[in-house]
Amino acid sequence: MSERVHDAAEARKRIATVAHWYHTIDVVPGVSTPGWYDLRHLVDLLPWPDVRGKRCLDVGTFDGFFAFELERRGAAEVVAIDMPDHEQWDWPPDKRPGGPNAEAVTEFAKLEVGSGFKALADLSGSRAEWRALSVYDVSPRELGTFDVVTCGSLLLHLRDPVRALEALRSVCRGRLLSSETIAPLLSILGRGRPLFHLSGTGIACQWWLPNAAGHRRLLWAAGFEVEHASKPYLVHYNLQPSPKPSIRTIRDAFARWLLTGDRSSGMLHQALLARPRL
Amino acid sequence: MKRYAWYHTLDLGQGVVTQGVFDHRPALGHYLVPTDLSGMRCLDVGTMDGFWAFEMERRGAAEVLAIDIEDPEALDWPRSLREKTVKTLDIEKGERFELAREALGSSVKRILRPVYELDIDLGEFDFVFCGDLLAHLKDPITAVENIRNVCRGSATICDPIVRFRLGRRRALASFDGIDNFQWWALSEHALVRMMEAAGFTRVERGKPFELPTASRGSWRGLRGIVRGYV
Repeated sequence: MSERVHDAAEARKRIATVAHWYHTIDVVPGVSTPGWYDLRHLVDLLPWPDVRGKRCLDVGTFDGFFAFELERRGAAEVVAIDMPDHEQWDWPPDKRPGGPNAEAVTEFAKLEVGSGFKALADLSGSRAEWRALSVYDVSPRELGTFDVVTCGSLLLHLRDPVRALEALRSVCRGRLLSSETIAPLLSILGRGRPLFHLSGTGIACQWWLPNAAGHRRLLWAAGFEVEHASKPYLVHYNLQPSPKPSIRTIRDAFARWLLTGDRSSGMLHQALLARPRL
Repeated sequence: MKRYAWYHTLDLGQGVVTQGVFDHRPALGHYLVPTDLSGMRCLDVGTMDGFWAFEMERRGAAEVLAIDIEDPEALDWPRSLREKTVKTLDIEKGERFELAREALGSSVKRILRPVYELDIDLGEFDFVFCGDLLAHLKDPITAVENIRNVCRGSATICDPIVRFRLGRRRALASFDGIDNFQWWALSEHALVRMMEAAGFTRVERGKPFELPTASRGSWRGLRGIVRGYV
């Protein structure tokens, strides 16, 4: 554990040592990380459980937005897990090492997942513990159990989201806060029916994109019961360029605006607070 | 014969026909299974009573392997159903398969192996058939990938599909996981997408058809059928 850095010039210098930032996070007044995504506006929209004095786990932490927020809110202990080796993500076979299209995804190696988290932990004097671990390998034996588990924008990247949530269920003795990407149009038109887009192609490593009811049902099927649901909100693009306009993106933008009242560009999300039911 | 509740309607010869939950015989033409499998090494995934394994043998396959799992507890049950489901149909499938195999004088080999663990230690296959299995899997993507992995020719997958009014040509799925022993109910295009993601270079679509259970009822049993080529 290091001393918290207060000097803006020093903070800028250390931020610049990290090649790619995923989260936009305020470090010292006037200085924040140049992340692809900006979640700062939505912290207060989330149905946070009481985390004071609690043992917490953040899953798929990347630069640690949720992990550091848990700590800021008074968590006694924060463990953050992620998958730094992009070759171990849930790629379809053609994009795995040795596959015909493996080249297409080698760029992800440059992300150096974990470097941003460690830089931020140093800058802020955080005690959060970062570990390389797949969500599928989460178990009480591996990590112990937690009062609060957070998981953000991860499920759509998994081939088997139910197994992942069952793994989280196995370590959750209190609450799960799941902030997940949801499909705009399917959420409106599906009218409460759990529906998913199946991707599996492209280089975004996406599989099942749920609508709002689908996200809820996944949690239920894995043994959770939803207590509170946030209103849908957008995870804003910061440095991440918005998709090129097409009929589909314009339609989706309209659906996002209908659901959130937010005209910015970003990924539609909803957060669910759940507790174990089984 | 009568002692068992059969899953497949099987014509065992000499006028003996089992009364199965599903009778594929009138729908044979819908399935993208080659009429001539001469000399081919074939695999039936999730064989149950063995209808498709025996059918592939009948169509001239040189060798047919059939995989299934014996322990009903090892199935991907939704938590809410695991306790309360009567699992006779699954408990006795090995006995039914063996009875049918003897009656038909078949040399199909049945191997206990979950599709999640299907691997090339069983060798490669010229033709693979997998019917009505994906809907019962939490992770159908891995299953299709494993099928692709052992396939050196083509594979036909048949599964219940849903027609969504939200977009007929989109890869959509509805998700149960609670009340029915069903996880992902795919649209026809989602089934195709899954084959493409698994690495089949060309995917052929058959015409969707209805195959309700033999007891009929309200379930129309709309099936999608795709054949992927390596």
